[in-house]
Amino acid sequence: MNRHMDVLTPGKVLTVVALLAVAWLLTVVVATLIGPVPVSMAALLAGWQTTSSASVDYVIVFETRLPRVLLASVVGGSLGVVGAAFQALLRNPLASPHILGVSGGAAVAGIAALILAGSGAFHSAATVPAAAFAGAVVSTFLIHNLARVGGRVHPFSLLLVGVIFNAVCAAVIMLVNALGDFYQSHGVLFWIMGNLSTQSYLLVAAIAVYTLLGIVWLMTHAHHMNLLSLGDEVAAQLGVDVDRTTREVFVAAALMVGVVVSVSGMIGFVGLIVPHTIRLLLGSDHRLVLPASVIGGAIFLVWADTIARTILGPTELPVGVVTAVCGGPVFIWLLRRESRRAFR
Amino acid sequence: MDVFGKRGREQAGADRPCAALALHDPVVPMVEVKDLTAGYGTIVALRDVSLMVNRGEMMAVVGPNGSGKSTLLRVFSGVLAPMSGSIRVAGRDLSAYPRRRLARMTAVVPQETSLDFPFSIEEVVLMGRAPHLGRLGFPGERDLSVAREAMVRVGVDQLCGRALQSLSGGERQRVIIARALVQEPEILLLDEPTSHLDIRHQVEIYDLMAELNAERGMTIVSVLHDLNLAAMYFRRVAVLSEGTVHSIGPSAEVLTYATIKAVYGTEVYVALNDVTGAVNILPLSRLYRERLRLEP
Amino acid sequence: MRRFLAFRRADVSDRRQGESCRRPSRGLVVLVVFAALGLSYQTKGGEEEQRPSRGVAMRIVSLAPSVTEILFGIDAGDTLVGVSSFCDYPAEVATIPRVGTFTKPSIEAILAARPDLVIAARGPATMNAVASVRGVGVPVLVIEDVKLADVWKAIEDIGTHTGRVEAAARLADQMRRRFDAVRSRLAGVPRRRVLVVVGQTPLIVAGVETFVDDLICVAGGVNVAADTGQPWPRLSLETVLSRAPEVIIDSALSHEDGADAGFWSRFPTLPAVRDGRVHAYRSFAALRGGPRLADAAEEFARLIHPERYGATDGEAENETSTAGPEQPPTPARATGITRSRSQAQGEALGEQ
Repeated sequence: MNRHMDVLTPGKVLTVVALLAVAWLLTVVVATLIGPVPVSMAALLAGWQTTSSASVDYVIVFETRLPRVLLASVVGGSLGVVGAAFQALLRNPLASPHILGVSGGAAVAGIAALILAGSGAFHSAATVPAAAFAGAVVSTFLIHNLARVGGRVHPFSLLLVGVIFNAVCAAVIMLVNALGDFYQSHGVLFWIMGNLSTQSYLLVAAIAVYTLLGIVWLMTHAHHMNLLSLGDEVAAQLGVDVDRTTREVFVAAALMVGVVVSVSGMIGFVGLIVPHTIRLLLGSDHRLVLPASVIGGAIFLVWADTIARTILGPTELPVGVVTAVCGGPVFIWLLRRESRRAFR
Repeated sequence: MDVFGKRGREQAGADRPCAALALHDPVVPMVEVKDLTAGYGTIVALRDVSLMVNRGEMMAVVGPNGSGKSTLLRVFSGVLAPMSGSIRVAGRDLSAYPRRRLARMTAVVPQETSLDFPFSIEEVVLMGRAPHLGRLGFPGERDLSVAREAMVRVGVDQLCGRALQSLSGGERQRVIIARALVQEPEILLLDEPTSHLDIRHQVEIYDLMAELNAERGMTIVSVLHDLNLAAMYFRRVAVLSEGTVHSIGPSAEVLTYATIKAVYGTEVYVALNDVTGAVNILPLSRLYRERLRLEP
Repeated sequence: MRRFLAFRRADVSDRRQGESCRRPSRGLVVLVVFAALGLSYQTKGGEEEQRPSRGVAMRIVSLAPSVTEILFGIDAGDTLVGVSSFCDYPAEVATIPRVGTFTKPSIEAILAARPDLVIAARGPATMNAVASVRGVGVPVLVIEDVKLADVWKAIEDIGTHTGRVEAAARLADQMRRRFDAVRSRLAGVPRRRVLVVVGQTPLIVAGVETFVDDLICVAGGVNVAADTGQPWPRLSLETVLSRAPEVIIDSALSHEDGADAGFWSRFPTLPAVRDGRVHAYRSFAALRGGPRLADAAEEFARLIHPERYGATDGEAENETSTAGPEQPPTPARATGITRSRSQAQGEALGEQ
């Protein structure tokens, strides 16, 4: 053999993950120090030592910025890996986490809870996100069953059902937007544009644990996702239970999206661009793409959110706007690249 | 859980003591099909098919479009479940084999492969190792050497590092054959592997098939369109027509003017070639068909 | 038809001779014509020169809640034959038929009510509706509905068109007197930094050029979001922290939350949270340019300066103060808010 075989080993995966993790840590540190309000390092350190009356700088950095940066990391990581998983699942490099309708279902449930809570039925800070997650679970179940044809869930029918489900949810959201009062319309904004806000460390930690479980679950299917690229029949003949893999990946990914959307609305483009960029840089092996998409997604969203909350001074841009402005041109470029390849 | 594929490093035969007897028993046919009916939904593609493939045999399956050839291969590989009838591999019912066990025994080379995502050829070849590897599919030393060997065997080792999509049709098919070979199968199933290839690549690939059959005693079943290639390379030919087996046997006996006229509906010139010893089947233009009718 | 065909044939033959590039293509001409038509349609909607006649209207359709409230305020409630679906005050409104939302009124419903005047509030989405209504021949009066200064003109215009000029003047006078009363009661009291929140996720607050901003000013407060230059800016949390508002009026808080400041309780260093001045406020009165602005002004004054107005409302009683005596106001970090600006604003509001 003249040329050396370039094969993925566990060592390579761990090396890449470690490097990316370092990049992420740096990103978190830098992003926490950037914001519309200038903070002084001296006051920060001083506030750290005196635990009692914290200076404003301390509160800003450690109680508004850092939780938000961490939330952006978790949300971005989730979206990145789910995007990669859906692209493998649907055999389509242009799929995104929101395409299968679960996000729409979560949004509708969240908005319903918002309206009911507004009329005083039941209300706590956790009502709306909890309702949204319940909506995501119900949607996953519905979409999965609607897409089942002859006992099997075929990716094409999954896509079709998901897109239609999404369209219906979008219509419902628009309806609420048109009929709702002033306060309710602002609530709807959250779902459509996405919003990263400061949450408690406890919530961020809980979501992180949940996401980690999902990522581990998806990783166990990474090799099978590679095999699916050869075609359903060949993959089946290589020992892959195609139907079961499809189902398990869909449910895991959908539930991850559900949590993310419940807490931060529909943030677009992260799940589309990040896996593609990772693939361009590191190849298509999902055993590498999945973990790299997690960290890549985290880094991307942290930067996008930092821009969103800093660039206009005291006011903020919705983070979905920044990801779209960065993501739109990249998406078009990718589209052209894919079609050029298809026509070769 | 064998996450890192350590098991792949062991000899592949370690888990085969039960079936070992049947596999190496020359009397028990490798694949035996009885009264098989199979199809898709309401469409029946194969009807009451019965045939046998012996161990170490090279068999060609020919027939007009829509006669059920691909369906037969799908049933052989376990991808399509029969509607009725039975299929036994190495003496055991096909459905009794666990999925991965079957994947270590049977390998399929489809007509063409287009990947959803770009993979390099060594990644594609290593995918064939999946039935031997753990959940995460990381290859061990043995897996890598099997893959290397297969790539040398089919002659694509110089192309290491290239993306599959960037290769020519012939090279691509060879890579896919390498992928099938690393499964270390007993049975190799090919579905029109050379339909899109030029004459040189066709010959290359069938030469390879013949070598594998001779060296390793691999049972090979191939669907093909080219009757001359079938006649030259395959000792036994099965002719399918409208979902049933029209005739099966040595190529010289089966590929006759009468059979081809009955099955394909066209007249050909059949002659035994003294040099190759195989029959030559020549399609005839209308002019020659009329001339042939005048001379019996 | 024949000429069209002839043109087409000529086009084709021209192309054969390779001359088509010099003549402007037919497609381009059609495109320009369409664009011109479209533009003219748009500009037609923007006309305001067309004012309704000065006659007295006896049957009025109101497309904005503020208009409805003004009409009832000048005792012209009985002229209303149709209201928008958002009109909910006063209680008599319930019996009046609805004609749709103010962005999407039902033309049929409006016509069925046979009005001789339709009154709408100007907004980006309403102008299309106005054009449609004018298009069916019904006169429309458009009033401005953004800040306090607009309300006086609106009341005057509505009074003129309903023949109730005196009632209108009385209403405006009443309102001005109440504003003055609030102002004078709070004269000399140092202004408090106020943040009015309309949504928590995302955090959206009231900015400049809104009724809320003017009400804050009347009620002895200073709007911490005033320098953003937008009416409903989406403020970052750290900006809020750095501006250290002393009073937070939050419409996204429920009454249960109001007891412990809910969302805001995470930031005990905020003066508003520390001193127990986070209030839940869900009324629409502060958002509508109608007579209830005076109520809202008094309510705001009660919330912003409870000592001067007496802490008698429910929210203040339910709150558990974390600190006993009032802390001296912490200086705001942003320097965009100065006394001179709020003084100028106050003078502008005092004008007729």
